[in-house]
Amino acid sequence: MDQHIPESSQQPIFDLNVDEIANRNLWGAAGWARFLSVVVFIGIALVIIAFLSLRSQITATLSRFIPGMDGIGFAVGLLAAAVGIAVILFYFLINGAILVRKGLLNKDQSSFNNGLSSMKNYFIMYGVVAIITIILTILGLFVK
Amino acid sequence: MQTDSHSPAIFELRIDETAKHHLLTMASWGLIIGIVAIIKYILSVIEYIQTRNRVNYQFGDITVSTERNNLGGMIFTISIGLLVNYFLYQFSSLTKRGITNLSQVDLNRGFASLRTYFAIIGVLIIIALCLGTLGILMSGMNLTN
Repeated sequence: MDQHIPESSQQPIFDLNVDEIANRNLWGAAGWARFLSVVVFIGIALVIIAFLSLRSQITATLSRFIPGMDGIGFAVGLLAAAVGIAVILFYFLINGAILVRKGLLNKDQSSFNNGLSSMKNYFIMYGVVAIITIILTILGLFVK
Repeated sequence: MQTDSHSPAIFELRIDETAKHHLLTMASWGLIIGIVAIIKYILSVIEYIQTRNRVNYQFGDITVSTERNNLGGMIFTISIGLLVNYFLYQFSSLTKRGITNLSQVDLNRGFASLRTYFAIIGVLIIIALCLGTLGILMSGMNLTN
C-alpha cells in the first residue's frame, strides 16, 4: 500500500502538521524572537552600565524626589526588580526560540514541544506582568 | 525498500496533543495581553484628558515635564501599539481556530502573524535602543560640561 505524503498546500486529513509554510513561519518567528531577546539582554546590560556610571546623579535626584529616603537603595531595588523580571521573561523567549529552531532543524518533536512550552511561559509571564501593570495604572488614576 | 530519509523531513514534525496544548495556552494569553493593551490605551487617553493642564511639576530646583500635552506622541504610541497587538490578536484567533477546526491554513496564518508580531517589536526595540543610547550619551555630555 502506497504511503501518501501530503503536500504543504493540501489540508491534512486527520491532524495538523508542521508543513513547509508552518516551518517557514515558525522559523521566522523564532528567529525574530531570538533577535529580540538578544537585543533586550544588550539593553539590560547598557541600563546597568548607565546606572553604575550615573549612580551619584540618580541618588541625588531620587533623594530630592523622596526626602529622607535612601535614594540609592530605592533605585537599586527598583532596577533589580525590573531587570529580574525582564531577564526571566526574555530567558523564556530566547530558550523557546532556540528550542523551536532546534526542533525544526533536527525534526525533533521533543525540542519543538519544549520550545513551545517555553514560549508559552513567556506569554503567561508577559500577561501576568501586563495585568499587574494595568491594575497599578487604574489604582494610580484613583489616587489622583 | 522505501526509507524515511527519502521523504521530506519537514513532515516528520506534528502538532501533537502537547504542542496543541502549548499553542492554545499561548493563544489564550496572547488574547489577554491584547485586551490588556487596549484597556491601557483607553486609560492613557483618560489620563491625558485628566492631566493635560498639569504639565510641569517643580521639585526644588528640578522641573519635571509630564509631556501629557503631547497629543501627537500619544496617538503615535497608541497607533503602533494597536498595530502590534492586532498581529498578536490575529495569532491568537487564527491559531485557536486552526487547532479547533484542524485547519492547517489557519494555523499557518497564525504562525505568520506571530512572526510579524515579533518582527515589528524587534524593529521597534532597535529604534528605542538607538534613541535611548543617544539620550544617555547626550545626558552624559551635558553632565561633563
